[in-house]
Amino acid sequence: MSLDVYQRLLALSQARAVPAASRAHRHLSPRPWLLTGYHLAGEPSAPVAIRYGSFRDSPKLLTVAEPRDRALRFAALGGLARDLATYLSRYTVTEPVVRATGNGRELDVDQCCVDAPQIVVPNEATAHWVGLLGQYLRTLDDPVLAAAGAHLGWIASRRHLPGSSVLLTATDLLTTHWRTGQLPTEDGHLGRLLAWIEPPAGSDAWQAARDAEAMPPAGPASDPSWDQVVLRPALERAKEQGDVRRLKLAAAEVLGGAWRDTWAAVDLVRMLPPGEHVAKRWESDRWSWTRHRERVLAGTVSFSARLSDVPAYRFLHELETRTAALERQMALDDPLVMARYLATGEAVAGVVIKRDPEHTVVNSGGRSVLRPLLWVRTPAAFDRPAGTELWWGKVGMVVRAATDDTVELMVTSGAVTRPKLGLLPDADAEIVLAPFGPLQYFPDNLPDELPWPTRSSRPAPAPEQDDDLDTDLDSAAPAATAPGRVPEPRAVPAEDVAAPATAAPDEPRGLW
Amino acid sequence: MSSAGARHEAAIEEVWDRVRGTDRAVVVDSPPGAGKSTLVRELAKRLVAVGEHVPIVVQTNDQADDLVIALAGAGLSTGRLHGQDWTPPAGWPRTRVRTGTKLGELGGCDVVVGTAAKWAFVKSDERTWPLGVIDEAYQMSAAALVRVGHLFDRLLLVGDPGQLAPFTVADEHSVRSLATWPLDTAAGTLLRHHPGTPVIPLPVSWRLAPHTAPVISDAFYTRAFTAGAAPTDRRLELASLTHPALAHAAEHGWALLELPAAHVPRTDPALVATIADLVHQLVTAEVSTVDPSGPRPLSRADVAVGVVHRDQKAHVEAALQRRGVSGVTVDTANRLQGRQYEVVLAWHPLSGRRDASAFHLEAGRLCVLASRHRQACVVVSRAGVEEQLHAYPAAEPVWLGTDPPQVDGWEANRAFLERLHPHRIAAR
Repeated sequence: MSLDVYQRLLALSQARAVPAASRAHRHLSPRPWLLTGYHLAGEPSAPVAIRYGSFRDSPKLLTVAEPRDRALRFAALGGLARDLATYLSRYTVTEPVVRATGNGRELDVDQCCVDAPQIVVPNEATAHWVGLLGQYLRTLDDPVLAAAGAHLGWIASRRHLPGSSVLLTATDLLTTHWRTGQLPTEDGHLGRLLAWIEPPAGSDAWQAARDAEAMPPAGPASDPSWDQVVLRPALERAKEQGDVRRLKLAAAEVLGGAWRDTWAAVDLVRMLPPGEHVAKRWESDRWSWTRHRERVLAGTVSFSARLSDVPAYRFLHELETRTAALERQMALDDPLVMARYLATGEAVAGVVIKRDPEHTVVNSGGRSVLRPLLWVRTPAAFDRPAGTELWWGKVGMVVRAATDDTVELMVTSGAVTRPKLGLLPDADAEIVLAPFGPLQYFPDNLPDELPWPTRSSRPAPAPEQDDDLDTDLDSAAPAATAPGRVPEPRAVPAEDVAAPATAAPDEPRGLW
Repeated sequence: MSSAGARHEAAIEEVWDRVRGTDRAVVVDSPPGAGKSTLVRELAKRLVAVGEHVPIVVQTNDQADDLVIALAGAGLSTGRLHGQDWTPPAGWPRTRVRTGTKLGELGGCDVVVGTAAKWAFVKSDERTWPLGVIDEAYQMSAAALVRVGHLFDRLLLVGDPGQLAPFTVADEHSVRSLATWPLDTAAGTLLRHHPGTPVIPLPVSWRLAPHTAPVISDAFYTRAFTAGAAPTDRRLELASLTHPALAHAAEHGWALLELPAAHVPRTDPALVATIADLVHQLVTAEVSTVDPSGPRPLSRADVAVGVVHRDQKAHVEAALQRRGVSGVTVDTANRLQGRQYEVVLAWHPLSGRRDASAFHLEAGRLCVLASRHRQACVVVSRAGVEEQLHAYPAAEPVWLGTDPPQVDGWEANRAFLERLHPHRIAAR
């Protein structure tokens, strides 16, 4: 049985969302920078209005009287760029931090920013838009706008990495911690999602969700009838009479809902105590921010629309490592997440009813070695076969046999020497045996350049000179000059794809 | 020699000529049971005979162990490069084999076998080889090839194109935006970058019988193959009364046992019980398997259950343990790749599902489950899979920068079901 399905059914029957986590699994900055906005219909590069800032009661409002006019647009975005720079300047203080280097075995001390910025947006579409704005701005000659573009590019790139908290979406924050009774696609609507979690007094989730749907959308695409009835006259007035008051009033009103909802999402998750591993994951964001700042200062920051060659392989390794680590850490941090594994039978909960710490077996070398036995009484039959591996912290064990209410386990690691027998659980102890062992670290083992079987043998042409295409993300392995490489045909415009981060040189290796 | 045997021999000689020739890489496409392992063993022997050292890259520890046992049996001095946690399996050869976690511990071995993950730790400044052999090259990902490719000046890649595509635990959509596709198969990525590479198909399956091979060949392969065995060569004899599905499969090679249609959890308890009962009957009844080497009783090691998910494996194994049955292999399609049994019970990937996702539609998954047997295969499923297929036409996007799969999963599933239609049996 999947706990997820059960929770959704429960939410459905109660007409109210059900908690899916009892810890906050995202880092929440004491001072996040929120952003909600609209762009012109069908034109993501033409912002109409953006509400942003770190102060919930005094947000900044950017409006563009004629969004199609590049000069006006950049003047307005210049204000946002300066405010972003002011916010980011709070995160420049560094402290010495011990980190693992090389293959994760050596330790080194390096300067790391004590904190990093955090951007919160209402939904996935706005997060994607932030990346597009960054891509758009960083090609400009204006140094303030270009710097803001580089920062937004870094911020947007972090969202592809599981466990990163640099760019949070309110919808993801809420769906990570609650289950609703509506369809997963409906959870993408921030207003509906909040209606399920906190329906107003006297109304059930369905009614509240319907009411929320009647409100202006959270963006960045606006409501077409609002475009027609409110925006169009306001823009005409601003254009013809130079009077932007009406536009500003309309924008403040229409973006107000998403602004309040995004703060509400942050507040809801902030009420949960943070998971134990969250700080460790945030440290990896701090390292990335530190390296990003260094690159911005040195003028070497660069982005790739699509990763290729060795960085692409490194990105996959990074994604796989982080995906597995996040899954494990969330379960170990949070009993309600671990309950999902109990429900599927991958984990076992029960009471230790008997122990035999002196039990020995003869190993393949003919020596007698200590392999303590435990008997655990379980509320339901354990339906996994003998040989299944389970862990209690660092103590690893295998299932020897199971009856309707008892599991017999043999300890195979972590407490198999006499001095360590004290690490075994006591008799009568209530324990949860998890399918997660100690975190294993695998080096990526990637070569500096692609070997011959995975690249074409035709001679490389001269490096492309095309300013529109941001290539060469990773200064350590310049893609365009890798020997023997033929550039992939570019079938999509660069704007269509957000730049995934290459986290390679940023991250402490093997620490989380 | 039979004509099938002659065609097989000709293919092997062609591979040998290419290996001794000037091509930088050679790919051998091998359908299920086409003698791929024999080919690797034979080529290793010939290469050692002309004074070469042969490094062999395989994908799993089981495959490495099987291959080392076979190579040592052929009289080759073989090294097994392994990780820290490896323990030798039962029947590990006492002579001609050295083992070690480092290449330096395997000095003097003519052939060295290790998994791709282990070879990735060997540095090219330590040593390189003029020719490397990659086994299961369609199971191996480009990401694994990138980590070992620099060790070899030339490569021989041998594999079954009907295998499962490499997969990742990460969100695949994040990876799809890359200009390089790290989850391409090793053989696929090599052919993409070196299109002139010769591809030699092995034309004959020695595992599948004449009545089961055409189903697999038609549904899952672009290069047709035939069975090497004659129609009268093999049969399964059931002396005692067994389930009609087993009796039917013994006679026809196939049976599709259908439970009543239902939408059920992934670990469908009724399907688990049905499979466990079938296995129990099979290993307790008097069954003998007959082939040209003569009749012999069917042993538990001859039977396997192929499932789709690891939790299904756990539930089936536990159900078998409760029935006192041990020694029968239960594993996911992914881990059954490259293995062979007399009788296989397969959990249909789409059984009891409400949708037909790309994972469950993958041609390789069904192909692996349906092509592990020499005598008979019983596919166990909830009814209604055809309707489900028609309700969920394949909707996978075409990804830029990657080659479309050679065989479409949706169509392969439909074709396979159609061929199994005459072998349907409703569960009691």
